Formats: sequence, C-alpha cells, structure tokens
Amino acid sequence: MLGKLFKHEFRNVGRVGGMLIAISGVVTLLGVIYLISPLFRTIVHATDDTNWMLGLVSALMGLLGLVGYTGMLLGMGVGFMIYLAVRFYRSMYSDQGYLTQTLPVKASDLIIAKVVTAGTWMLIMTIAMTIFVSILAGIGFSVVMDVSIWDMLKTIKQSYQTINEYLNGLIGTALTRTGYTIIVNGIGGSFTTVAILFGAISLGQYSWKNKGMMGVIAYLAVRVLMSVVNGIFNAAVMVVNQSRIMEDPSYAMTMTSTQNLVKFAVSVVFAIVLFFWSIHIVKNRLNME
Amino acid sequence: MSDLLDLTNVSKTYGYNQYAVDGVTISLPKGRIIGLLGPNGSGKTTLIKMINGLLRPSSGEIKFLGEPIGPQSKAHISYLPDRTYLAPGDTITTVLDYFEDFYEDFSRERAISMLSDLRIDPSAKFKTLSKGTKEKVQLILVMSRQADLYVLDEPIAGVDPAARDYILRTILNNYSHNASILISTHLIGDIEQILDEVIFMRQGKMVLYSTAAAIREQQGKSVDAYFREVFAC
Repeated sequence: MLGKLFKHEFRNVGRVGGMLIAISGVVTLLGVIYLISPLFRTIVHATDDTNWMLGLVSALMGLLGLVGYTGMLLGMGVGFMIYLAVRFYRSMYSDQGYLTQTLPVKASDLIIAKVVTAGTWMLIMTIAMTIFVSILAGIGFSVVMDVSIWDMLKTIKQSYQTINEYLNGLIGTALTRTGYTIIVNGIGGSFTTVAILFGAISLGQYSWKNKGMMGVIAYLAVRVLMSVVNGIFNAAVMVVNQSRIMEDPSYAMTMTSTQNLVKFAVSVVFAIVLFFWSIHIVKNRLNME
Repeated sequence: MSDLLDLTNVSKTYGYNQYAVDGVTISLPKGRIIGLLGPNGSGKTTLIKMINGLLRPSSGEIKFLGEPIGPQSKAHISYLPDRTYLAPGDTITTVLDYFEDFYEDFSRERAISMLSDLRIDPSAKFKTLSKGTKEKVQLILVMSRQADLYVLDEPIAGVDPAARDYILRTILNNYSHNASILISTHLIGDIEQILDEVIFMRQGKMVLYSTAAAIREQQGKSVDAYFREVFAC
C-alpha cells in the first residue's frame, strides 16, 4: 500500500512541482537567449562614448532582470512550500481527508508517503533552481568577462583550489568541508523542513476550532523554539571554545561549520519528533470536523 | 446471524462535558439495511465518523468483526460522507484509478456502468460537475465496492426527488445481501420502504433500536409518522 500511496502522491505533487520547474526553465532559457544575443554583447562591450547612455540603461535593465529572476525563483520556492502545506492540510484534515483517512492504510504509511514525496520534490526544485541560476550566472559572466565557458570553469576550479589551500593553512578547515555541510544541509534540509511543516500542521488537530490557523500558529511556535534551541547550543559551542578564540581570533571562523552542523542536527531532531507526533495524531487523536 | 459491528458504551464529548454521543451500545447484524434516524444535532454523523475512524471515541469501544477500527476495518467498510471529498482538479477516471488501487473489493466495471447509466463522462473534472452530480459520483464509487458494511451519511439530502429514486435503486441493486447498510437521514419518508431496522437518536443518546416491521405493527403507523411523533417539537 505504501508504494501505491507514493505513486499517487508523487503524481499529484509533481503536477505543480513539474510546472514550476518548467516555468523556471523557460524563463532561464529566455535569459540565456538574451545573454548570448549579439545585442547584449554589443551593449556590454560598447566603447563608443555615444553608447554610454545605452550601456547605463541596459545595465539597469540587466540589474532589474537579475533581481526579478532571483525574486521569481525565491517566490516559486516559497510558493511551493505554501502549496505543500495547503495540500497536506486539505488532503489530510479537511473534506478531502474523508477519503484519505478512510483508506485501508496505516497512519505511518500516510505520513511517510506525504513527507518523502514532498521532501523529494523540494529537493528536485532546489537542484533545478541551482542549476538554472548557475547556467544563467555562468553565461552572463562569460559574456561580460569575454571568456569562454570552459576557460571560466577552469579559472573557478583553480580559484577554488587556491582558496581551499589558503583557508586550510589559515584556520585548519577546508572549503570542501563547508561544501559538504552545505550539500548535507540541502539534501537533509528538504526533508526536515517538510516533516516540521507537516508535523506543525498536524498539531492543529488538538484544537476544537480553526484547526488550519492553529496549525500555522504551531508552525511559527516550532520555528521560534528551534531558534531558541539553536541559540543555546551555539552559545554553548562558543563558550566551550572561548579560550581558543581569545588566543586565535581566526579560529572563530571554524565555528561557522560547527554551528551549521548544530543547526542541522537541531532541525533533524525536531523533524523526527514531529514526524512521529504526526503519526500519533493521525492514529490516535484524529479530530475531523 | 453473527454481528458485524459492535459498539460498547461509546461516547464522544466536545469541550467540557458536552456529549455529542452519549453511551451508545449496539450490535449491528449482517444482511440488514438499518436506518440511523434523528433530528439535526442528534449525534448521527459523529457516530458515523467514529465508526469510520475519523474521530476517536472519548470513551467506549468500537469493533468491526471483532477487531478495533483500523486499516483492516477500513478495507471492509464503504463510507459515503455527508460532504464532497473529491479534489476539484481531479477527473472521475483519476478517482476510479485511486479506488481500484486501494480497495480490493472495488469493481471498476460496475462503476463505469453506473456512470454510463447516468450519462456522466468519466473524463470530466469534478470542478465542472454540479453538486448533485458529485454526490451521485461519490455514491457510485461507494456502491461499486463489495464491502461488508456500507455507511451512508445523508445520501439523499442534496439531490432532487428523481435522483433520490435512482440512488435508492442503486443502493438496493448493488449491495451484497451478506452485507449491511447503515444509512443516516432525516428524510425518512423517502427511504422507509427499504429499511429493515431503525435506530432513533436524540441528543447523542440511542432512544430506540427496533425493526421497521415491529414499529409498524406495534405503533400502528409508519416509521416516518412514528418518528414525527417521537421527535415532535
């Protein structure tokens, strides 16, 4: 039954997720076409004094376009999160929940299917958006700097190695470690974010009225609590390492990676607690209006 | 005849000591059509939700074929709620796929045949259908299962009299005679002819459980007339 739940969940969530990725892809493609067009190249590399106004206008338009593009991607990310939250609430606890909750499946299967599917689509969105931004930024820089993409990639690789070695010598940590932390955060974060979101929405079932609103309030409360716990742990890390930081202020930079790991660990703990709490609510505390 | 569903001292409270259902004890047998009758707010829907696992009883116990309510019971109970549970963007075909995947006792052929009888296009999206048509589709989905117990909450409340006849025919023609139907309504006159037994509920309490024939014989009047007498304002 879990496989069937996955099948239907993946297809339903994928309709919106796929559409958002497709829209982002089309906008990125339009951006790429503009960046590689002779018009953009002419504007960027104009040296004629009479073209300074054109250059200024195009620079402003480019800036606005970049802001708009970034805003669109961020908006899509936030919009997708809101869609996932609304869909979870509707399919589990409102009228559509009358079908979901009477399926012959275990409560744990329902929650697993919802969290894993939504987390997977969040991850797919994040990867797609990162690729789109990288493509657009890469082509943009390549045109502005007047170097080929391959030369640019080679330069980035060399710079990365230089910075990595420098940081390793300076503070005893490598950029690679930070990179791994970001990747782990990115992958795990998609699933913990969704588990926390869905868990908080499920907490709304404890209320007799306005269960959706109570779910939103529970989510905000969980986020505040997470920030407090993060703050306490990070303060503890700083206190423990205080003497070393006093001796060598650059050591504080190595704390960033540790703090990121602490933040991730806190979100994992909250996600696990809320995941099992959601199952408990669906199994034992369901309170459909 | 062995019992399908056993409720033992089942209560549901809301807030402080407000009883929606109050100490209901009843055993429903196989092979019966049972009317769950009562005025608005008498606890019919709350009781039905508890039978389907959508609400947990505050106290008491509900067992279906000797087992607590859970995935096993849900595989054998076909439930029609008093509201539309279909996603507006879905097509009827999508929901047929859904039922076929999750309910082993679902007959797609039967559902398509009934949709065809009512000239409903399976490729239609729910947002394009009228309220009455959505209710008919839900009833078709529910009655296309070979369940042991059908729980129908107000199946004829929102449809016109002609559609009511079709719905009652659908119910009668499609349930297995080893199965039972628990049907909740306050439109008793329309369904009286199909009822074997009736349960009267008032303010969360079960005030009567009897056969329809016994009411007619002992009271000398129809179930509808007796209901009006018992629940007269």
